[in-house]
Amino acid sequence: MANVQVLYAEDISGAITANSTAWVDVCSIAAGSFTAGAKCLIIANQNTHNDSASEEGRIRLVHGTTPTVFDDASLAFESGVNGEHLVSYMFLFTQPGTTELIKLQISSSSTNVTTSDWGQIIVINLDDIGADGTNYFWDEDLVDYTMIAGPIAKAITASFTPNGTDRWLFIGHMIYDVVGITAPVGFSLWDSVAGELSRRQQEGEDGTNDFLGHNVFWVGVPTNAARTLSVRPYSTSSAVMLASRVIAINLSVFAQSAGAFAAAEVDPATSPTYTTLATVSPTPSVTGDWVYIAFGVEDGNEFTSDFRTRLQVNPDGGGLISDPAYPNTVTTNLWDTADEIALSVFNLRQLDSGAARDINFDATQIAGTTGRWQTNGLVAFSVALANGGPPPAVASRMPLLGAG
Amino acid sequence: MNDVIEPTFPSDADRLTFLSRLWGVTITAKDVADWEAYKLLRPTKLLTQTESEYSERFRLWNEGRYDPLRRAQYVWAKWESYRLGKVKPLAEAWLSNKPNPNRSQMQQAVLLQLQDKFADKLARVNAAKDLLPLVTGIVW
Repeated sequence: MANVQVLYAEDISGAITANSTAWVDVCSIAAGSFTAGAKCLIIANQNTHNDSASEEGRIRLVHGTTPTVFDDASLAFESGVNGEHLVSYMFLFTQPGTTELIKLQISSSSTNVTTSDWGQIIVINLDDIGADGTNYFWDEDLVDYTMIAGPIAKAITASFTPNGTDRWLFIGHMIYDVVGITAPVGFSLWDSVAGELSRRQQEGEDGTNDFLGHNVFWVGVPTNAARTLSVRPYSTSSAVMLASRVIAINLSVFAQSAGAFAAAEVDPATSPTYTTLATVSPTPSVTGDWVYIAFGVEDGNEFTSDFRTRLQVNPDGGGLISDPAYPNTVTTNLWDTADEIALSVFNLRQLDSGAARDINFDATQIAGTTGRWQTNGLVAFSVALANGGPPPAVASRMPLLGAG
Repeated sequence: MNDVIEPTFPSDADRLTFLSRLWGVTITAKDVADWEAYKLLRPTKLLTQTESEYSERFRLWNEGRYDPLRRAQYVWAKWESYRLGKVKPLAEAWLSNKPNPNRSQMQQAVLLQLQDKFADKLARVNAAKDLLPLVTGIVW
């Protein structure tokens, strides 16, 4: 059975710190792991906190031994003292002939201490699942755009028509300069048929220095109708979108997949009791690696809202374990009661065949009473490909006998 | 009410003194001028550039703001962007029942704001002696 190449790196130690403007590595995927010339989907998360409320923590995603920063991927955030903050990335990157490492780095604006709570990178070799425009649809928009109150589609896929039975994964990403600090800056993940699938928004705190990046997700079975998928930024604070990216992946290319998504708000139990926001229970037909991604949006509603989350899996029937066992954190700094904070966390790990393997994304409320979780979901798919893999790209097909 | 709290000072020099003492870095009028000059260097996309080339030029400028040699400019840019930051709950509560605060009450509001937003900086300066006497009022 053919597999899609998936690479993963994490650091969940909470022990990596930066206390100067020098960049410190958090986690890395070695150059030798990659396939030369491969078109890679990169998704990364970096959760950090900073010990100063007036300085910034800084994050970037780079490639190469002499680091080259991905487009617009040098970010910074101001937080409350030790307030946690998650930034996320999504890139499509074609590895050069001599492959390059990919890594997350952190630094500080001065001698303040920026601490990595957890960082993670996952890379999927898209060449293994087919060409753009067949099993996945991608777009990015790198033209700076000053947002207005009404959402405007920026990154937008070509039109595609699901068959009405296949499960799809949709991901939207935006990097932006907050510019103003008096209004939320957000974006919708927008389906031209179904409308808004999910969104996130947050008010800026430092108009000069805050540069942020976030991801939102949706998984499900789209109807059999032609559609486009887009990222639609909006703000009244003069915020500038530096980059937006969107991808739709037909999960039927994988041998197995499972998905759950609900837009209904969830009011998690008070700590220490966890409430499940989303759950899936795939039954692997063979023992092998799976990718799973949990995601949700925290609707703060009040400045004191604070939650913890965890991602648990029962990989072999031995019981639920947290994996990744990241410090079960979530962004705590709300700059406006209208903030809606996106969180995602993912993993690559083996699931044994023989029974359903539960995967749960849970949350518990640490502080506040009116905070909620909205647009929660979980997606899991095997790295094993369906039917031995996708059809070859047109350019590599053998000519038909007798043609031409 | 403004979204940010801004102390006022007898002179521009007093303002720079306040910021220098708060941040522990000497800020001069030349630093202000240098920041204005650096802002003018912020890249704009040229027709001959790809988006990636423009992104890289912008990154170099943006990360350059954190160069320790530009620390004074960094501090001034913070002030330029949001003064002492968004009004924090303690300061807001303090001022909520004082529609016409006197100077002492305004200084107390500044202190409460500093305690919330600049706690790490206050640890190394005597606010009552070295900062608050420079404050003549607030705009908020």
